[in-house]
Amino acid sequence: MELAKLFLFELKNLSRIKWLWIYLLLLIGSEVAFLKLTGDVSKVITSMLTITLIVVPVIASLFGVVYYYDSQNFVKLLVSQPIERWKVILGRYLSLGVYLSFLYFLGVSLPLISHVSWELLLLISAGVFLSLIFSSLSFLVGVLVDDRAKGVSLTLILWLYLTLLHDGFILSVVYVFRDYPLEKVVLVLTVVNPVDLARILVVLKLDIAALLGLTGTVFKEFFSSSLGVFVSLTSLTLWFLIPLSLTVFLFNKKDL
Amino acid sequence: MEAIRVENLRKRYGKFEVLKGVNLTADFGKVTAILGPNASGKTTLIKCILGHVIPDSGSVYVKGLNTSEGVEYKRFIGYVPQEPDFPENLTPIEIINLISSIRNSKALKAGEVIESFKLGEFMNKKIKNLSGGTKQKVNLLLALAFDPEILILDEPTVGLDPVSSVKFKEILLKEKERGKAIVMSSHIISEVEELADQIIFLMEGKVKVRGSVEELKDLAKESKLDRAIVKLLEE
Repeated sequence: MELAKLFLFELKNLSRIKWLWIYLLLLIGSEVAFLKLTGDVSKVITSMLTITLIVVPVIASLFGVVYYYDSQNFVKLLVSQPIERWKVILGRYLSLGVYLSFLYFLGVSLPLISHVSWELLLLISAGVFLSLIFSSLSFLVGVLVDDRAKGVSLTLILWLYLTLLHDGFILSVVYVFRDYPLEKVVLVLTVVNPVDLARILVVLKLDIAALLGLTGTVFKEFFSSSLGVFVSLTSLTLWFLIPLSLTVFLFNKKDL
Repeated sequence: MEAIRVENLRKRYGKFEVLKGVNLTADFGKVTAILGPNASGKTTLIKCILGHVIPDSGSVYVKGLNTSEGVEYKRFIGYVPQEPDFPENLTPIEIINLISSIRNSKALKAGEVIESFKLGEFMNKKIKNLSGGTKQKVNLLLALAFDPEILILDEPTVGLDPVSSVKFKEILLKEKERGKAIVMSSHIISEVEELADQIIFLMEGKVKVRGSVEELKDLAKESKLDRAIVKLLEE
């Protein structure tokens, strides 16, 4: 019950933060612009996927970690009340994750409200997963690193690695070990990156091989059926559940 | 009657042992002041009582409840942190409502405190539009509104204007007369002299001096409390 109350309280707080409205307007504006420019829903979804894979993680990461650090004193006040610590951190995480996911859902679905398709639903799923995953990673960084500057830097490095550098790493592995069969290795390297998983989740249904990239191609070879979607969804779920569980566990033992 | 009992409390941050076996009690109907220089362990001690910091060993009992065995004991405590910090986009009334729902208790004394601090006109304004002093008053309001049996105050008058500071001290004395236990840390010796029944002076993680204001003055043969403390510490 306290968890629900805290969740609603934090939701009210988040709904009044104007920076997040700008995020919503950015998503709507981009999608409307793509729709006007191309007039093709499939191309709009492809363009929005690119934005989703870069912008959603950076917003969720940076806003999440700043939100965590900014409210440390208020969290102490909450912990002084008769409420278990796990409810405090879980209530705060859920409100952030759900609110960012809701904004993404609105931003992407409103301009395409008359073009609902399986591809659009997968794009929304990918954005929602990335919102939840990067929010939970940012909270984990916040709990692990007390120093704000170091925490924000670590979050940025994590975002940079998962969004940009990881594929370069896979490419290097493939190039260096090109004489060996590497499909399974690439598959494993893909599963350890939620951004790649989110990309594959959508691109597999869009059937635009050119955008797949190396990791996606291998994934498609292995999982061209619904099994691929299932594996992606399971892995993405684990990607936010594991950091979240760790965050709750560590917060319970943390000196505030 | 004992409100808080601390037994052999130890806490270490890395190599630095902040609390080295602290023992103390704070009684109902009395003001206990925890004093000490920087890094003496007073903040950590208060944090251990509030459950912000998990001690390495030792025990804290609040109204006989072991604080390591649950959070129910926090129902008896009203806490005033040194730095008021609330979500900026919310109003004091919304924050009171949240705490009220968490405590499952009505803010029975809120009206009285709002009246004392003239907070009425600010209750529906967003926190970001309030001055530092007004935020501190909201802090005090949150601690007093639920009529807790124990008040824990960390530098409570920092940021308050002189009138509010006097009013707050009057409220504290009234609460003491009503039988509440008050534990406070402060750097303002005159404030401590005015309010405290018992002084616990921490130094390097240990209780160095303990006693009433008069006892400490007599012991040091000094007429002023600050000089008495300095003399006792030098001995």
